[in-house]
Parts: sequence; structure tokens; C-alpha cells
Amino acid sequence: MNKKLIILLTLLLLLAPCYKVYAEGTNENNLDQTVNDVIEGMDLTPLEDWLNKIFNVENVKEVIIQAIKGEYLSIEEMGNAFKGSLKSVLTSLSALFIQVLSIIVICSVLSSIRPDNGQIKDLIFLVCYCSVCLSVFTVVTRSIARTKETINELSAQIDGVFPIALTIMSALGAKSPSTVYQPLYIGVSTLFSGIIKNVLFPIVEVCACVALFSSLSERFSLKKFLLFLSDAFKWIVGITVTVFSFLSIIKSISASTYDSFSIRALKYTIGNSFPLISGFAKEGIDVVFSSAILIKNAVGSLSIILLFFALLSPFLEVLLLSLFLKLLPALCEPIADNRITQLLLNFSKVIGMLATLLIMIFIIYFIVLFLVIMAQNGLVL
Amino acid sequence: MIITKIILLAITAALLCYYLKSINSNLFLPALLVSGIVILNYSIDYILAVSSYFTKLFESLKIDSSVFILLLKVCVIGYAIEFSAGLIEDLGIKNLSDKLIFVGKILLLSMSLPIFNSLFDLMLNFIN
Repeated sequence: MNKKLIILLTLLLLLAPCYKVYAEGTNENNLDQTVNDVIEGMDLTPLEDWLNKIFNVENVKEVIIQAIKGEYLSIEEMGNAFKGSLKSVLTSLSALFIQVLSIIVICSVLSSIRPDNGQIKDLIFLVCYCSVCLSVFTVVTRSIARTKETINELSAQIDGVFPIALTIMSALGAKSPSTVYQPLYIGVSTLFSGIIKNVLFPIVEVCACVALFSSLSERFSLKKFLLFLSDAFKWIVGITVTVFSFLSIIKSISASTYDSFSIRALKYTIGNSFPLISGFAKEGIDVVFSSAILIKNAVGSLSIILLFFALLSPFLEVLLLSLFLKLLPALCEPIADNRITQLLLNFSKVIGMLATLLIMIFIIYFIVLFLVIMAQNGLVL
Repeated sequence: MIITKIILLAITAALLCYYLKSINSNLFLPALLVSGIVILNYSIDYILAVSSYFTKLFESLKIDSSVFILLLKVCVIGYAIEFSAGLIEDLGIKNLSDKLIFVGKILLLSMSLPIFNSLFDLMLNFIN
């Protein structure tokens, strides 16, 4: 009886129809779909406004999807943004160059006046000096105003973009947004912005005013005062950037390790808790985390590119202006009065300070955005 | 070349003035005055050429040329005052020469007021 039962069961097994069963695993289509779903549900208005302003591109969601695939903005679009900035800067600076050069050439005629009539010569020199100051100071004040405006606009843009990345990071269940990145961001937006607005910019403005009068007379000079202010400026910038870099990197290292361990613990718990669906649940978590991390990285990378191009035009302007203000004394040294060449060199130092401020802002925001990009990238390993 | 003519003219005028000084001192100063005017006359064309070149350059680059023209006038007037004051001083009338310099300075100051005014306005706007 038992033998018959065993033979019958064996025959049933051999003759039973076989159906292929496909296990539903993770593939690219699931990830793409999840990424699209997450992006559709996000409010990316601040990033869209910023992108539209710099590159005249309206659909930020498509740009993020392209960025996830590694295709950022086209070289043509970036090249156009760069060319537009360069052209407008060169036009305004060449006009200034011609204006100041012509005034210096006229002033050089003064050398023919006898020193016996020094008072007439001094008066004409004063008029020439004021004419050079008028032309150059107009451009310097415009550059200072533009740099201030750029820094304020950039702060506003980052204020809008940073919460998007923080939201994604918080949604992943990590603690680092609240313990590291939010305080870091608050530190940047209040403390360092306060140092730039209330300390560094006033130093630049005072330097501009001092530069105006420091070389007017050989007897009354403010060169040492100007040197003191520029040294103080360099020290404050150096210390600020160094302290910020040190603190942010140290804090983010420990935060990322903690987050990594906590998410691994979560995955282990889910993977071993449910007998039949644990595999699907674990893979599902991986897909969600991967899509969120991809979007976070794309938003961060796009923000870095936008940051670069937002600072490119004002930085080019101050760089070229500083170069022109050094080129003019170099060309006119044989014919120009020493006081006018010194005036131009002093103004070039002031413009150099503006370039330093823009680089400082770029470094600070770059570090913050880079740390956001690198945060939690190890969660899906 | 024009510069050779000017040099030869200046040397000739100097020798003539020196000779006239020794034989008739009354003619010395008029001769000096005429020599100076003739030599300066050669520079007028070149000054006008430089001025028109820069004016056209400013117009082509759409730059305001008013400051440049004002500065040119100030320099020319300043030099004219210096030239006249020098001649009067050579006549031995230093008193009159000083008065001419004083009037010249007032004139130059009044002509330069727009530049000083623009600069002060710019500084006040910047400070505010």
C-alpha cells in the first residue's frame, strides 16, 4: 500500500504541468518611476526661479531628471551664459579705460608749466585728480553695490534651495538634517552673513573713501591706514573660512556615520521581521532611498552649477576692473603724475577685496552644498 | 619736418631777443612776446587734432565727453595764464603778475566747480 502511494505521488509530480514563476525584483524601470513620482510631488519653485534667471530654462524637473542620468545643462547653454557676462563687462570697462587714459594724457601737459607758478600747476592738477576720481569712483561704487546685491540674491536663492535638500534628507529618517545641516545652514545664513554685511563690507567702503584722498597730497597721506584696513580684511576672511571649513567637515563626518548605521539597522530589522515579504520590503526601501538620494544629489549638483554661474558675471567684472586699474598705471607711468598712478593702484586694491568676498561666499556655499550631496550616499550600499 | 622749423625759429628768436636786449632794451620784451606767440601758434593745430580725436573716440564709444572738454579748457587757460604772468614778470612788474595769477586761479576754480560738485554728490550718495 505504501509503495503504491509513493509510486502514485511520483507519477503525479512528474506529470504535473510546470508553470514558470517569475520573481518580481528591482529593475531600472521601478527606480525611474519612483524618481519621477517623487519629483512630481516636490515643490521646486525656488530652484526653478534661479535656473530661469541664469539660463532661461523653465522646466527644472526635466533638468533634474537629466542630471540624475549625468546629463547636465548643455555646453552651449553654459557658453552663452559665460559669453553674455564677458561681453557686457568688457564694453563698460573699455569705456572707463579710454576716459581715464585721455584725462591722464591731458594732465601730462602740466609738466610743461614752470614750478615757479606752482599754485596754478597745483590747481590744475587738483582738477585732473578729481576728474580721474570721478570716472573711477563711479565704477568702484557700482561694483561695490553689485557685489552686495549678488551676495544678497545668492543668500535668498540658497535659502530657497537648501530646504529642498534638507526635506529629502529628513524624509530618509536621518538625524543629520536637524543635528548638523540645519544648524550649519543657520550658522552660514546668520553668523557668516552678519560678518560679511556688518564687518567686511564696511571695511571695503571705508577703504574706497580712504583711497580717494590718500594720494592727493604728498604731505598728508593715509597709506598706512589703508594698509592696516586691507590687512585686517585679509585676516578676517582667512579666519572665517578656515573656522567654517573645519567645523562643518568635522560635524558632517560623525553625522554621516551615525545615519549610515541607523538606516542599516532599519533594513536589517525589516529584512528579518516578516517571513514572506521581507525580501520585497527590503528591496522596496532600497528603491525609495536610492531615488531620494539621486534627487538630493541632482538638486545639490545643479545648485553648485547655478552658484558658479551666478557668481561668474560679478566676479569677472571685479577681476577685469582690478586688471584695468593695474594696467592703466603701468601704461601711464612714464607720463603720469605719481599721485594719480598711486590713486589707481589703491582703487585696484579695493576691487581686489570685492573679488575676495565673492570667492569667500562661493567657498562657504560650495562646502555646504557639497556636504549635502555627500551626506547619506552610503545608505543604499 | 615741422619740429626742425620750430627749433630753428626758437633759436633764432632767442638770439634776436638777446641782441635787441643789448642794443635797445625797449624792443626786447615785444620781441620776446611775439616769439612766444609764433612758437605757440604751431601747437594750436596739434592741440585741436588731439581734442577732435578724443571727442570722436568718446562719441563712438558713447562716453560723456564733457569732463574731458572741461579739463582741456582748464589746462589751456592755466597755461595761457602762466605764459602771460611769466611775460609780465620778465617786464619786472611782479605785482601785476601776481594779480593775474590770482584772477586765473579764481577763473579756474569756477570752471572746475561742476567736477567738484559731481564728485561730492557721488561721495554723499555712496556714504548714504
